[in-house]
Formats: sequence, C-alpha cells, structure tokens
Amino acid sequence: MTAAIQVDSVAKRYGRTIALNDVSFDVQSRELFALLGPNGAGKTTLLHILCTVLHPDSGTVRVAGIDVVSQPTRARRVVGVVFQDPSLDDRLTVFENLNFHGLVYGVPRGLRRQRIDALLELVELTEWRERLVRTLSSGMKRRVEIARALIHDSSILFLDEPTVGLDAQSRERIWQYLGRLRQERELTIIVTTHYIDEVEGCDRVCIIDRGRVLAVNSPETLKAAHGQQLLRVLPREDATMMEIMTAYPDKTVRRDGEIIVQSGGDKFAEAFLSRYGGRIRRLSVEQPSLESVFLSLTGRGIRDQEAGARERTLAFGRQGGEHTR
Amino acid sequence: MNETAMVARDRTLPALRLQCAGLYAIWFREVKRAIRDRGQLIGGVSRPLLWVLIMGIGLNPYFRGEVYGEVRFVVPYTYLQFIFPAVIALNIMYTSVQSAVSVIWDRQFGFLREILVSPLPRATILLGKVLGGATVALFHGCLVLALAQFADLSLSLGDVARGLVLMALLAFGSHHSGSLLPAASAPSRASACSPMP
Repeated sequence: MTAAIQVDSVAKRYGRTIALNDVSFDVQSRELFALLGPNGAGKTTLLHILCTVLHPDSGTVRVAGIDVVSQPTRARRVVGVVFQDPSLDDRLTVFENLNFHGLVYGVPRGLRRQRIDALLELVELTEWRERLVRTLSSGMKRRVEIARALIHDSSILFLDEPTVGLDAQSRERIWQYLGRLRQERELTIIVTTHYIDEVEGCDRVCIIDRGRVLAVNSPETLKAAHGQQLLRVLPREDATMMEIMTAYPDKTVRRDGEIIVQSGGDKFAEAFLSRYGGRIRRLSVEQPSLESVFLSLTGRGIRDQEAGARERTLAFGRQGGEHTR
Repeated sequence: MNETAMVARDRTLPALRLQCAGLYAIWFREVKRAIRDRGQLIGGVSRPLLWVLIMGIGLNPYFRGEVYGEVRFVVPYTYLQFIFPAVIALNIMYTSVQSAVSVIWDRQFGFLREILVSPLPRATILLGKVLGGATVALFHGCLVLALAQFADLSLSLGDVARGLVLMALLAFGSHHSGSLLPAASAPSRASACSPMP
C-alpha cells in the first residue's frame, strides 16, 4: 500500500499561539482516518494545511505524493474538501452549486452532468436538485457539500467536522454515505471530529491535543494500550462531590453534574465503593472506550468552547442583519 | 458511475480551457446572484429615477446663469443634461463597489474558501469576480441610459457605443478599486483563508 498522505514534522503558529507542534503521521490509501481532539486542538489548522489553504511554518506535507507547498494547484485537483462551516452559495440552486464546482475543476460538460446526477442520487437529494440552497436544512447542505467534493473525482476526501450541529439521524446518514462511497470507489477519507463515538468505525485514529499528536493507531489498539475502566459517579451531595474531587485530583473530571473517575481496575473500584458507597446516588462502571483513552492521554475531557466571533456574525447574518446578503 | 469515473480520472479540460471554464463559472455566478437579488435591482432602478426624474426635472428651472434676476452667462445645457452622465457614473460605481464588497460576504459565509481550494489561480478568480461585477454594473448604467429621452438628449448610435465603452471601463476600474476594500479589511480573520499563491 502507498501512503496517500504524508505529514512530516509540520509546525504552524499564529502569533504567539502554537497551533501545530511537530506533527507527523501517514495515511494509507483507501483508509478511513480520523483526527480526534477537542475544539482548538489544531485539527482544522492541520486540515487547512493539507488542503493548501494555509502554509505550514515548517515541515513537509505530501498529498498523493504531491508537495502541497511547492505544487498547490496540482494538489488541489486530487483532493475534495468539506469545510467545517457551510461553503455553499445559498442563492444558487443545488445543481448550480455542483455545476459551478465542476466548471471550476474543469470537468467536461457531459461527465459533469452524469456525475452530478449520480452523486445526488447517492446522497438522496435528487428531488432537491432545482431548489435554492437556502431552503435546505443543515443536514442536507452537508450532504450537498459531500457530493460536491467528489464531482472532480477526487481520490482523497477531507471532512472537517462533517457532523457538527446535526441531529443524530442526519449524523448517522452521513456516516452511511461515507461507508457506501468507500465501497464504490478508491477513496481515502480523513475526517476530523470531537465526537468520540463516531471514530469507533474508523480504520485508524489520530488523537491530537494542543497541537501535538498524542497517539495514532486503530481504535482497538488504542483501547488496549491506553483505555481504562471509568466510574461514572453521581454523589448525593455537593460536599461528597468536592471530597471525591480533592481526594483524586488528577483522576477526576466533572461532567453534567457527574464525576468521571479513572479507575485503576476492580481493586480501585472496590476501595472507592467502601469509602463512598453510602453517599452515592448512582454509579456506573464503563469498560475501556475511546473516551477513556482520550481522558488518560490528555488528562481531561473534550472541552466545549463559547461561540467565536465568526459564529456570532453568521447568526447576525441569518437574522437578516446585512442587506447585501 | 464507478467504472466511468475510474476511466475518466484524467479527463479534465486542457489548461487554457480550464481557465476559461473557471472564469465563466465565476462570472456567471456573479451575474446570476445579481439577477436574483431583488434589492439590488430595486436600488439600481430607483437611484436614477430619483436623480433624473425627481431631482433633475425638479431642479431644472433653477439652473440658469442668472444672478439676482440678471442673466450673466448662458449655460449651454439644462441641469438635467448636466447631471445625466454623473447619474450614470453614480449608478455604475455604487453597483461595482457593492459587488466588490460581496467578496467579504463570500469569505464570511465560506464560499470564498470553496473557490480558494479550487485549482484556479488567484488572478483568474479575481478577474472572474471583477468581470462579473462589472457586467452587472454596466447593466445598471444602461438602466440610466434608457432614461436619456427624458433628459432631452438625442444620442446617435455612435454616441451610445462610445458611452458604453467608457461605462464598461468605469465599471471595471471601480470594481477593481472596490476589490481592495475586502483585502484591506478585517485582517484578523484573514488567517482562516489567506490566499496562498
């Protein structure tokens, strides 16, 4: 197998913030590769470098054997990108958006039409073909974007958080389409996400945090190597919660009113129970999962972030805050 | 689909035709968006109506070379004839700048990134954008030119042709300078999609 993507000691900084620090990994051809990390971990920056929107400060990146810094135009021809934020023109129809993409990538007319029809069928949007994109739901828009990224017959597909902000059903469907696409054609897929449950089905997972690669391996190997039993504890009183948190400061994480305790094994669980058993309302034991891998590698849960300036502007635009739109 | 796609992996247009196809796509998108934007069209029609029909005809009688009731000099035009070219220029410039500023909105709403990751060179993207905006602006200029008879202007075909060339140049130029606005504005977000060569 040949490497579809080679990332070698890539670094990128924005002013004083280090977004990526000596990141290296390879992605094999036909692989479903996931970049997992919390918001602000550097996933999007890495993806932007891979799809030639950003320059790395140092290091080399090869996509299908093409250096993205010295030959960006050639590299762009082989990759399809679905960005985190919608990038469709919502005043054009679904067909016009797809056709625009085909024209810009130089797909001949007959082939273009044929591919648009086939891909619309794949993402089940054939009857929405002539509708303006602004009338589509966000799940449908994401599906149009996936179809669009494949019109120029790209062999590598980048998806930046393709399921963020979608309901469970739409998320499920997007993964179905991706699975079907992988069966039908030779496609390498690189997907970033911060939903841990989604990466279970991937071939390999790269866990990234604060601009560093913490681990790259298959989900099973990662679970075997770094996974551990977790105790999900709901104490009766806040005082007990504080007590547990101070007793195991580096092993506990608070989430949704519960405490997640990293357990060393059954012995730890027994000792924990004999000490706090009477003061706990609920306790559940979770067997090694990718979430526990993430916790033990980063020492914390996947964190949330407040809406950035961009989201706020978008919300303002949606309210009709700007007449040019 | 699969098999044809595999066979046709390298079936893309040759370089020059690719440029033209991309240029056409970007130009056509601009024009199409402008046609669908009712607000821009209403603006394009109402500005000349306001200036030519209401202000122009209304102010026409006061535009004489007369000071305190005494005619000091003779103006060879009516006020309407005097401001008519300016109204054309106004309409063109306003529309050009408006569509140049739409680059900011393309960036804010993500579409610019879709264009930037395409294999088109940046110069072609800019040219397509400018040509598209200039076409729309030229059309808005023609809306004013159609009011020429209300301004008592008798234009020969040659005059119209000469006027159109000048209008096209103005539209192209003002769109270009308008395009500098997005480049100069909001450098903080520029990192997200700063164009690479």
